[in-house]
Amino acid sequence: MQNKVYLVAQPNSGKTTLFNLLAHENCYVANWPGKTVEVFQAKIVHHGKEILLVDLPGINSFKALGKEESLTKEFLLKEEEGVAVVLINGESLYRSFYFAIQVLEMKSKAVLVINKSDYLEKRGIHINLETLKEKLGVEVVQISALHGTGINRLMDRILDVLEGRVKGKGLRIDYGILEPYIAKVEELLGSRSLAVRAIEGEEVFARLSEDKRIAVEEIKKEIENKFVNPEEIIAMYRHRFVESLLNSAVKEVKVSEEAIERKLDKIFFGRFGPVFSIAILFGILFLAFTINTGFPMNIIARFAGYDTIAEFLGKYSLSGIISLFFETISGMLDGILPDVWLKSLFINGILAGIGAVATFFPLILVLNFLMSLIEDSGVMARIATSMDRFFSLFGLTGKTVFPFTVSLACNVPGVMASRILETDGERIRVALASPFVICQARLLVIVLFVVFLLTSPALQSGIVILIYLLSATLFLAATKIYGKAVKEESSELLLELPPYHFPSLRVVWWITWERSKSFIYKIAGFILAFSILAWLMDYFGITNVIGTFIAKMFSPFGLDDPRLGFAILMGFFAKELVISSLAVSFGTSDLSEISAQLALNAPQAIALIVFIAFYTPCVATISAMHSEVRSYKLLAMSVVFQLLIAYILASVTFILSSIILTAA
Amino acid sequence: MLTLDLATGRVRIKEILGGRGFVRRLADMGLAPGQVVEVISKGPPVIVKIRDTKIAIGRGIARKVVVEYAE
Repeated sequence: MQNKVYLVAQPNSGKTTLFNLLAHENCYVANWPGKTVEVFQAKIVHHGKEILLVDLPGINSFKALGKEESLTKEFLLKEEEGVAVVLINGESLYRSFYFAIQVLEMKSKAVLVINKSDYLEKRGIHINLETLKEKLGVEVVQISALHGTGINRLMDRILDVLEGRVKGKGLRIDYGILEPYIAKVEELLGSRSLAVRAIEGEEVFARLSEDKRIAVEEIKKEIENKFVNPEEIIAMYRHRFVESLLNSAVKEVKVSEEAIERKLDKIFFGRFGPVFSIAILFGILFLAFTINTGFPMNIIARFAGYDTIAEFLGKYSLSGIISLFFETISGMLDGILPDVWLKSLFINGILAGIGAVATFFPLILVLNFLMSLIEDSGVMARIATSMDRFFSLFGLTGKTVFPFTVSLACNVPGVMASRILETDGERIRVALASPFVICQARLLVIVLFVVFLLTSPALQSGIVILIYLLSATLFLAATKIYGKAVKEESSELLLELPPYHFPSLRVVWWITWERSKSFIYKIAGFILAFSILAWLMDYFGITNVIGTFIAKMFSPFGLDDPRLGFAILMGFFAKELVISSLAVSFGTSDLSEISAQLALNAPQAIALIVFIAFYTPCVATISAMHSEVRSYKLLAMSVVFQLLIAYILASVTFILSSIILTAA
Repeated sequence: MLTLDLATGRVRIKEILGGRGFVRRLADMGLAPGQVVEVISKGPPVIVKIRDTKIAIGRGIARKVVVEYAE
């Protein structure tokens, strides 16, 4: 077949997208004649004309020597072979044009295709195709392979060239001082483009006779003696050519988007940037909290007098629906299955573990989705930049604000979000310190304890504020301490600020899924294993032993009730279990009844609340940390450190509040 | 010696002070000797524009980028 069309481009120009678009699944793999390299080909028909489309391997430079790249070079050296469709990457015009002019120097039967016109439009970059056509001597078409725009026009132009209706005059770049030498070599080789290649030092004369080859070598030596390396001179003239080409044909119009970008950037990078950033993050957090448990939106709704809405939000939140589902199933199985130990293992070990995974997963999806939205829109990079000044005080980059914020909702995706951090050191520091951030599950436990154990409203809110202040301080201090362990005490921001745009749902979903699926693959198994372990410990009576031991640890505070020790142990598996385990061992779910039985004084209650806020959060978080950090040593260090800090803080607050409250 | 954290306007990168890994990390972002960048915001972090791309650079890194004013 005579009508051959070759796609030539650098990697990432969208060549494969264009090929697939044109090929309509008619593509097949064929061997390049005389080589073992395979190329994609497709037979396509346009206006009744059969065309063979060949997808040449993408090459970055003509200096490349790989087997695949040499195919592209071989094609370019055969001047009469087929039509070259040269792709320009709209996202990097300069580099693409520098590549394209070298192709066009050799191929006059060519169509120049400017791809990614969607991007160009968005950035307000206008390209004068007529000017390009005039200066490059070939047909020029602007397309978006991604959106499929301009494809028909491209096919028409290709046909025009194939059928000889349009004759390219070929590109001739003026090489100034080298021109006399080029003319001499051209005389020997019979082609200007080959002459330029030869002077550049390329092996273009494989089929030349011995004496011609020597003659060319002599001319090259002459140039080298008189000037510098001819390759450098040629490159210089090409750069000049591309520069003047882009100057005359490309215009960046300040579209409104650009104006918006400047305005938004002014806010983000101005004095109130951090406030603006925090407002956005809190908005997202508020949304995630509400979707997850209905809180705090349900309280606001109740406050505003919309009781039905409040109830609806509480009942049909993600965790509400899922726990209802698992309670129903385990209730049903409990009635059906015979009463043996296996049933208990299945219901209280395995099913409970699966239930825990199932409650985490939607929350992780929601948080990852919300984060991907701000990531894909370009907002995330701005928030990171505006927060950088604060975090750099602690040797962290502004990007840390994301794992930190996500951790406020749930530590598990928070730890996973540390992956966006640039260096390994920062990633590990933040992942290990994340458990000090109070998550929503812990907040609910803390609020319940505060309400039922403390009577004064001033004390109630004071303790909650104190816990959050301590939490932020501990998080930052811990990243410093872990920094010593991983020998990277400070990280620096280096971040591209992409143009703002409305997030594409396809991209957002892709990021969300990519991030969330590792929870299933890497973390879910651990959670299940811990759940079975917890069942085993319970079955063999180990939990009671540990519960009593924990209660002993707290006897200095007068908190030696073993039921409390047991609840704290259960809280290690999931903080919510502190409440339910107390309910089971006290035989009532009425918290005021429990608190009456416990009869704690204010310092005792405060110490207990502080301890519960800061000791190792839950096994799911530990599993997530393990999957990010991959070191049992660091993991053990983090867990021990948290237990120690929680105990010390409980002691300190116990002593201090005893002194203050007796004085007052 | 003028470094990027102190510069304003259009500057040309003269040298990057640091190990090979560090230089490579910056080069991947387009920050290499000979390149002209425009300082948009002194920050910190410093925000520069290089060709079509905006980049935020932490102060510690900016201190290691030696620049001179471009004409």
